[in-house]
Amino acid sequence: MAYSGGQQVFSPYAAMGNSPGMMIDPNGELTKDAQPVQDNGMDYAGLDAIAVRAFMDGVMSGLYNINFMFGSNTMVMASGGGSAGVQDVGQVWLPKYTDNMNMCNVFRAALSDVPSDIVGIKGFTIAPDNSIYVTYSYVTHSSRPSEEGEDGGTYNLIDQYALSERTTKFSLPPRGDLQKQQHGDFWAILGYVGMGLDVMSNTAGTYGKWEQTIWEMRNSWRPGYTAPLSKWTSVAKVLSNLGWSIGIAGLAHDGYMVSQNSMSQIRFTYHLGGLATSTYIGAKLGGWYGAAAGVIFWGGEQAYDRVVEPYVVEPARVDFNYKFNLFINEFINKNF
Amino acid sequence: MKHTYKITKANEWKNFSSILIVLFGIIVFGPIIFYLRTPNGDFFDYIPFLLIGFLLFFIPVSAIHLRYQSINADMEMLYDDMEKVIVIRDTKKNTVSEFGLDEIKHIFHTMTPAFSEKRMLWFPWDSYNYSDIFLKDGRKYRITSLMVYRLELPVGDKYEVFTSFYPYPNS
Repeated sequence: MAYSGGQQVFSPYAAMGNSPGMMIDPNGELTKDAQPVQDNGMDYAGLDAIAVRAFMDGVMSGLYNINFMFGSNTMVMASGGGSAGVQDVGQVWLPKYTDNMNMCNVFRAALSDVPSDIVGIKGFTIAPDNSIYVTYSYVTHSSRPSEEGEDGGTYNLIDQYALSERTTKFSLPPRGDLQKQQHGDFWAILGYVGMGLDVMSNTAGTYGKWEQTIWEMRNSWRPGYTAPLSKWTSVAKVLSNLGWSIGIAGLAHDGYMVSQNSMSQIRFTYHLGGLATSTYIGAKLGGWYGAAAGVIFWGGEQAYDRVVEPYVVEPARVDFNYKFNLFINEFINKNF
Repeated sequence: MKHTYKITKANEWKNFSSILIVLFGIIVFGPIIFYLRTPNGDFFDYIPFLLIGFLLFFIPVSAIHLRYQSINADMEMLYDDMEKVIVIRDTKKNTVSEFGLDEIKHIFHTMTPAFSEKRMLWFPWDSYNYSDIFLKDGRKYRITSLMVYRLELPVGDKYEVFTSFYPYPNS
């Protein structure tokens, strides 16, 4: 492919948006999608051409929040104006969970792990152990001294760009609902807190990246500490089940206390609600969130026992009883 | 390479071990919690409550385990990852079915959310999962986690994950 920045003519593929695999330009008038695609019998990691086409349509229409076009079987990446045709991806954009898990996995792996010099995926295979081997094109750069008369003698060095191919094994994300593994609201809220601190310290908007920051908070991948467990799965299994046994033993003890009239039913209900809520949150969002919910319930009980009950409820009760008795006494003395 | 799958003790242990860990924890932590909180109480009055708490988890796990066992008892699955061919053999009915991956219409894999996201398993039944394999000719097979702990055949978009709080196969 020609390098547009160093030549007066564009790539021969420019007419179809530098993506001959995805676009056609039959009359030299207007680029359009190469529809319809017939099943050509090719096997793209278990998918036929129509499935790949459907996925790429989703990609191009923004369905998967991928902000640049990424071909599955061809070199794609529109030329970046007069400069080299490599854009800085900048951030990881992830496909949502779709009906096309292999493609999702490939894109997820490719988008998060590829080196910065990649310009397109040429092909991929998925091994029986679910590892993905992606063959991708990347730009090589070299320079040479200008020859006599070349470029009018303006430049001493002529930049040369070429495409090469490389095959790399990528890590495979877990199957399932990939969207749920993104940061979600928790980190978005943290982002808002950070913005608030920026405002308080008069550094707000310095970089003009507020919205982008929040978007990234919500949609980038979780860092390692909340990433799915791998080697630690067995340990985590033991820990979670031991946690369950402590919860069951504690709740059973509460039941015993209620039967001995040593605990109110309201408090027992509160404990039961706390266990159920933290369990639900833990199952839904992850263990750390469930543990945090449990701590909040525990803190609420401690706050009631140590602050609200002795300093608010008890004085109010004493005050009410005193005034009520006073009122009754006065009422009786006046009327009888 | 050919892989053979059937219900194994190792897989059963992998699925059922969670509830045994819970039982172990209750036996250890139950008395500790009791004596820490009510040193003068009668431990025998506490045992029924412990038992009820344990049964709340043991009954669902046992039910799902027995159901999975009944589904895949006497079944054997052979998978040739080079030829992409699956052979399902029922030793009790003495039948053999063979089909290629391209004959598969859908695979619906039912599992809990924690298992699907490969994060820490939360409930004792979280590792139980099963796959329904629908073939184009109408045949249907159900492979449970007692046979294959996590079945992920390379069938592309024909593979779909369904999450369920309690993956008990009703039908």
